[in-house]
Amino acid sequence: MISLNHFLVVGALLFTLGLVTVATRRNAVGILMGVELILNGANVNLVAFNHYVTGGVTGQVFALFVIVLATAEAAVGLAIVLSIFQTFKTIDVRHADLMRE
Amino acid sequence: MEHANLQVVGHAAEELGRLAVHHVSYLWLIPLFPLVGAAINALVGWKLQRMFGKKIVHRIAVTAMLAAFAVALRAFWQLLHLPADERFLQDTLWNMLTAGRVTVDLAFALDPLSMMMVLVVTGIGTLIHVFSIGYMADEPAYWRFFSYLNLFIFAMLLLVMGDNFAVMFFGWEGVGLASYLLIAFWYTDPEKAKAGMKAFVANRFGDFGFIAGLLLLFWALGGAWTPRDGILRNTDYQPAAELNAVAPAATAAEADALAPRVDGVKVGPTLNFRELRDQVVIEATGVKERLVHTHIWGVSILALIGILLFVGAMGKSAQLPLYVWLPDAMAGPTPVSALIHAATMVTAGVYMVARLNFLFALSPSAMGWVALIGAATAIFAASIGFFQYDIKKVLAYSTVSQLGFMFIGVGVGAYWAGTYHLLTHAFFKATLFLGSGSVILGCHHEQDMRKMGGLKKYMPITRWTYLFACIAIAGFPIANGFYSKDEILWKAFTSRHLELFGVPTPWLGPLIYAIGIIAATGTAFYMYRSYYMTFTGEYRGNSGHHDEHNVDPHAAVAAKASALSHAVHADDGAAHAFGSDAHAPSHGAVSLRAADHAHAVHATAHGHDAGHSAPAHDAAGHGHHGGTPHESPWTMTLVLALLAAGSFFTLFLGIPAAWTHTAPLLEHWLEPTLLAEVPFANVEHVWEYVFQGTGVLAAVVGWLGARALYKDGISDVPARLKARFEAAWTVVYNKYYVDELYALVVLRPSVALARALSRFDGTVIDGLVNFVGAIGRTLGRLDAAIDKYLVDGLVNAVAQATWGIGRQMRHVQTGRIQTYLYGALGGALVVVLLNFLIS
Repeated sequence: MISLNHFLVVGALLFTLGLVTVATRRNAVGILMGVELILNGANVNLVAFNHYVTGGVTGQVFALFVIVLATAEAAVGLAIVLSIFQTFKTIDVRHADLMRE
Repeated sequence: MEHANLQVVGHAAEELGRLAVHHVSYLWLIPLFPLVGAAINALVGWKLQRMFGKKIVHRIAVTAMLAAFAVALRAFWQLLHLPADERFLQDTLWNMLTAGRVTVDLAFALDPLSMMMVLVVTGIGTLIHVFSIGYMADEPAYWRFFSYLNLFIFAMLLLVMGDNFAVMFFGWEGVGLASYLLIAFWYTDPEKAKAGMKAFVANRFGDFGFIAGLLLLFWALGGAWTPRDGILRNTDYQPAAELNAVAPAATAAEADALAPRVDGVKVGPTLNFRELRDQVVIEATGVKERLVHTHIWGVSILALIGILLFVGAMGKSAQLPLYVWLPDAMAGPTPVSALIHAATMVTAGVYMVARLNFLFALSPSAMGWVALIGAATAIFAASIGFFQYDIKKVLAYSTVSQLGFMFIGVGVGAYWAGTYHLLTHAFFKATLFLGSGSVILGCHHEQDMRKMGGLKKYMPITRWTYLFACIAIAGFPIANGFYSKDEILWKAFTSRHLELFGVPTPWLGPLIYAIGIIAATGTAFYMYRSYYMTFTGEYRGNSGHHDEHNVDPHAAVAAKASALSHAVHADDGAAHAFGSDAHAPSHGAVSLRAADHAHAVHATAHGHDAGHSAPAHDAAGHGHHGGTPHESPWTMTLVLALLAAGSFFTLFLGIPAAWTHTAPLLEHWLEPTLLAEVPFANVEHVWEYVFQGTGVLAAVVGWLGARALYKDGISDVPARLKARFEAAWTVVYNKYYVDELYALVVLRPSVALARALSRFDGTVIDGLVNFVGAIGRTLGRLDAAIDKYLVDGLVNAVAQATWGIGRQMRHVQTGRIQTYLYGALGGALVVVLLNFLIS
């Protein structure tokens, strides 16, 4: 029987993997992908708690919102990445450090 | 003269009343016109001169003078038609100052005496203005000269027309200023500037005496510096208690109401001549008694007042020992010498003594001193005049000598005679001075009589007028000088009332007469000497002295220089040596001193033309340098002729009473003003003829002496006498070394005092100041240290700390997005952990 805990573990794994991706990738696109993982980890939690705890559709609607948000975020994020590439001729985030100090 | 004696005898019973006053409203116009003329020329004269030429400048000045003279004639006309004892015109403009009971108005008054002075000042002044047109024609600062001349006339009119001492004193100082400005007119020459300063300073000494006398008089009349009782109070003098009543008065009317009155006559301290006259002259007021009996430190206060006021007159009228400025004042342009130093300003002292005759007459001591100083000055200055070679210097010493005669007149109590001599002297001395000006111009700014001679051929009008003025001053009965001088000397002989130090000295009058007659002989001698040296014999101007000039390039360039422009001039350094000699009349090397100066400049003049401010004059001056003498333009000769005519016609004002048995016209005219009763000895009628004969004899002796020695310049006696008495000649020629004596007695001590004070100042005062400064500086240094190390240290420490922290903290900002993420994660972890730990 798959319980709530299983879903929570999967959600936590997704979140952690996303976090590690964001923290370690040098590639800007990779980082954006990591952000998607984090958001989807959260989505898993929302849907799971909705099913096992509250009932109704509130959590699922909220998850849909997060998906829309993730889409928008990806669009904006990719546009920024494109701009970074045009400026630095690379998408390695280590080189985009003009603002330091 | 018996007439006068009888009058004195009968005078005691006659009681003088208050002065009747006629108020008129046009007197202020008389001084106004010259003031306006001076203002126009001073403010916009230079512009007018540049735009319309010199004509406009002298037209303004002469028009102002003519207008003033016309108004003066109008006033004279009005005075003539008043009864003799009511001849007093008064015109109050406004109140200048009211303090307690003292009011000072800006007011003018004309009585017979000041009327005469106003006519002389405006009349002769106008003539001298006209003369200046020709004399100053080459002067670039033409407008400045005429502005000063008008200013002088304005001040002189204030002096003679002032209704009170304040206005008079304003004019008194004003003429001093104008005299300074005119003497130092060619101020680029240090000698002339110095002469101006000398005149000014010498006059300051006199003015000190004048103002001291004035204040003493004010005090003696009951004025007090502090309202306390017990000093100089005479108990039998009724209004004494009221005199120092201190009550506020804001207007002249209030002050007038406050004044104590005796029989309707205002008494007490006053600055007004008329009020002074009323209270002194009218016996019932008791003021006269009080003044006569007042003594201060054992000296009669009246004598002290008289002597102090006379010190003022000494300065202005060039009497011993303050006469030294007048000969030096000849540095000014010649019309100035005529106007200020002969005709008008120097007579201010005589005028003042005559105006205050009622006061001087009360003190035989003061009168004695006035007469004695006058006599001493007359003989002293005459003797210096014997050996001067500068024609203007001769006239200057002659002026000093004649002023001495005037003071003999007013000193012995013959006020009208002194005043008459003032009038006659104004005419003949103006003629002489302007004649000398004409000669100087004709001889191309030569003043040394040794370089003249034979001028009667070239300048006939100047010669005849000069000769007539010589006749007048020497004292031949065909000109006015005889009548005034004779009257003065006669009155001096008959005066027995003079005192010195309060001791009666009846012998003083005859002594003064003896001195006077010797001085008169001397006068005739040196005046004829100047005439013969100047106008007879051969012209000496082209020889000797001029040869030195032919060797320098000046003479060579003279002809072409007049045609060339200023620019060419500037290249010609030689011509410039004279330019830097400051467009002076001494231009062309008048005296040896000037010649030396010019040569000295020659040596260094090449390459710099400093001080060359008068190219126009320079060019003009060169044009007629070195030619034969020539007669002056008609404006000048006309003035000479008019003045000479005046010297003749004024004799009718003073035909002696001995001849006609009526008082002379002028004495009669001046009687209401010159009312002092002075007793003269009753001498037989015939004696006056004897004395007149003696006077003429003195003139003849002087004339023949000069004629024998100097006519045509052929006699070698003067040179032999000079060689024989070299030592005496040197002493007199050097003016008895009075200037050197002044240098020794006045100048050296005052310079030494100044040095000592300077040293005191330099060591003690400066030391103190420096000490205080040093303390301040030390304190300042301390304060600066505190500021620097403590306050600034704190501020800097804060800044350093902030800066250091910022420096360290900026390493956190790496610009790498993942570093920030670590931060955020770390922060979140901390929050989570804290959450666990706290709960």
